[in-house]
Amino acid sequence: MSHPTLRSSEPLSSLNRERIMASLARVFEQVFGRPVELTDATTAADLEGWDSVAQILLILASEREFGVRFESSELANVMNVGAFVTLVESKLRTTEQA
Amino acid sequence: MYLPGEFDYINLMRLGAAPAAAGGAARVAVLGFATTQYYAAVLRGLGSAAAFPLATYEPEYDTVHQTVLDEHSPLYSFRPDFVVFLTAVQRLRNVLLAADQSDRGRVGEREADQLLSLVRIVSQIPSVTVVINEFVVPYERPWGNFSARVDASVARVVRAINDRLREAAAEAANVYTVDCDYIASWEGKRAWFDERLWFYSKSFCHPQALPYVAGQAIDIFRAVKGKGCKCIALDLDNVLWGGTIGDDGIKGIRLGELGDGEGEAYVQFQLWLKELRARGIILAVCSKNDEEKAREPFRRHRDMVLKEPDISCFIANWGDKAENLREIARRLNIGLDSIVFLDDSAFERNLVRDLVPEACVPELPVDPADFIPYLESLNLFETAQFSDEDRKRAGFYRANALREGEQRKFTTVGEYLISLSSTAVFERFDEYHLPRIAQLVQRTNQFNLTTIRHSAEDLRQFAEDPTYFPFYLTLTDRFGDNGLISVIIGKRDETRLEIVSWLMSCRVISRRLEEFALDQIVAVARDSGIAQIRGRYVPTPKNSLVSKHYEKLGFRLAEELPDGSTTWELDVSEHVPSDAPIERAALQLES
Repeated sequence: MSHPTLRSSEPLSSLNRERIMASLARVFEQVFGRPVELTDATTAADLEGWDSVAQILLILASEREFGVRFESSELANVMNVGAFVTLVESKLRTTEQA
Repeated sequence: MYLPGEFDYINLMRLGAAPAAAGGAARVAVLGFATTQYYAAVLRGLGSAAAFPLATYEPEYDTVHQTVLDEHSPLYSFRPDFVVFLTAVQRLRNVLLAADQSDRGRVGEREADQLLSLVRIVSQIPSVTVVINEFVVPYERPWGNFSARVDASVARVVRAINDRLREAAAEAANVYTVDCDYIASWEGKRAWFDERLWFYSKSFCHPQALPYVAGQAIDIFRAVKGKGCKCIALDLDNVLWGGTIGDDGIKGIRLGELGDGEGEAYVQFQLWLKELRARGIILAVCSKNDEEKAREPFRRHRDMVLKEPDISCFIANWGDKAENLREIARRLNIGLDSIVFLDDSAFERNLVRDLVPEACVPELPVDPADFIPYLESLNLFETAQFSDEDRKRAGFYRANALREGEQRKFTTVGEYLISLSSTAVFERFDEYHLPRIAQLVQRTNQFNLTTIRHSAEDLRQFAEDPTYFPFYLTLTDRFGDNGLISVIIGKRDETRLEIVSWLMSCRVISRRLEEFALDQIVAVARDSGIAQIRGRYVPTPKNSLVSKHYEKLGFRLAEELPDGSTTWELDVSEHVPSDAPIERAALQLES
């Protein structure tokens, strides 16, 4: 069940959008139960089953995958993959700097 | 067997997303004062993992009152077998916070009244079982540690409401509560409460807690359906004591003071087992050992909590454990699916899992100090009822195993039965015996002619209806009291007595009790001017044992349907009284 995560000992510099996207694809696969093709442009409207219930599961599964926490104000703001990746990226950077 | 803690909630929700197979699924209505989708999906997922398929109905968000109070709502056409009330303390807390501190007790009472009035309405649905999630006591403590002493504190009012829910459940035959505060504290309230999710999606807990809380409901459903663990079959070495009795001897095994902390852990585990025995769970031994050596600690070790009389069936030999487990089931006359097998050896566990897939075989932690917390987390011994009979049951089974031994001394079974000096009570249902009657009706699978699961309420009504002839039987012999072990329900019309249900505990099979019972029924029928008795056999995967029941009793076949069910008739005038060696005893109510 557990995937290798980016949390481990990766230095900040090696974290890039492609690697986050690859991990995010695993999160989507777990939630939707099928491999999912993700691009920056993918939105909730493009993906069958990406409703408000799946949305919460994607957030919680990402929290587990990346070791980050989304704030209340962010829960509704990640209905497309590009924004999702950007948010995770900024959270990982903040974590690293802290 | 299913272990809720071993599932990830996301995988469970995916599993639960697939609709349950149409036939055979139990119907569950989930009435939520919070979002129900996550809970319902996890519930369905666990149901399919537990081979207990569930179909769910969830009304629109926050419409519980409207749904329950509208008799035309889909809730009633759904005909639920189970209704779960999902409470949310987050909602309750705001109702209480809005009230003046001096008024909180009264507001809490009103909330409890409202919830219970909904419960009362729903509990009238025919054959329904209602499960209420109790409120988790909130984590906020405006007075710090002093909060528990302040009448106006939300926590105190919530506890009082929970007490009301439990009292209501205790008074109703078909209402149960889930101790959510226990579940929440097991993992910790910090893991249970996620305020973001309450504010954003009205989730009453973090979904990671859902397998645990939904699992409790399934445990209750299963218990109500008569499925559950009745017996623990125990390995000995490194389960009841540390070390190997055969090698280390009575002075070498680690138990009690002689085993440091490890020895104390085995003593504590034995105390835990003894407590289960006291509530009616049967203990058996299934050990690879020489029997004399295996029995020695039970007889002579001063720190053994369990003694020989606590073990209802003791099997120690060098045969394989799967076969020995089957022997235990045979001797105790219980199903393999009601046995939990505890063994420290992965080899034995896997062997039993392969060869006896019906049995429940949990892992066992390496450290005996972890046995109890691990086994408690599985909630293996959920029960829907607890009666005086349960308390005595382990004793019944031990007496039974003694009888089996005695049987070998007689040359014929007939002689043996006569030597038992059996007496039986045959009486109409009464208030005192109804809980045990209901339990037997729910649990009996093998000796059950029609397998109709009459609800506790129906049984109560039969007792009062003069057209019904509802009887129970108890059986006592020189080895002890077997308790209430058979139920026969007849319904009369002008000329005929139709036997709606005839069931008997397998503990008293081959005792000719059914012949005795028929004599009594015929006598009652004759006294009531009934000319004919009619019985039906409806086959299930488990009741082939009684396919020839009526034939053996001298009934003639009246009808056979393509589904294998048969109808049988006996004219009262034709009946020849049996010579079953059982004396009818007068009813004695326990003081």
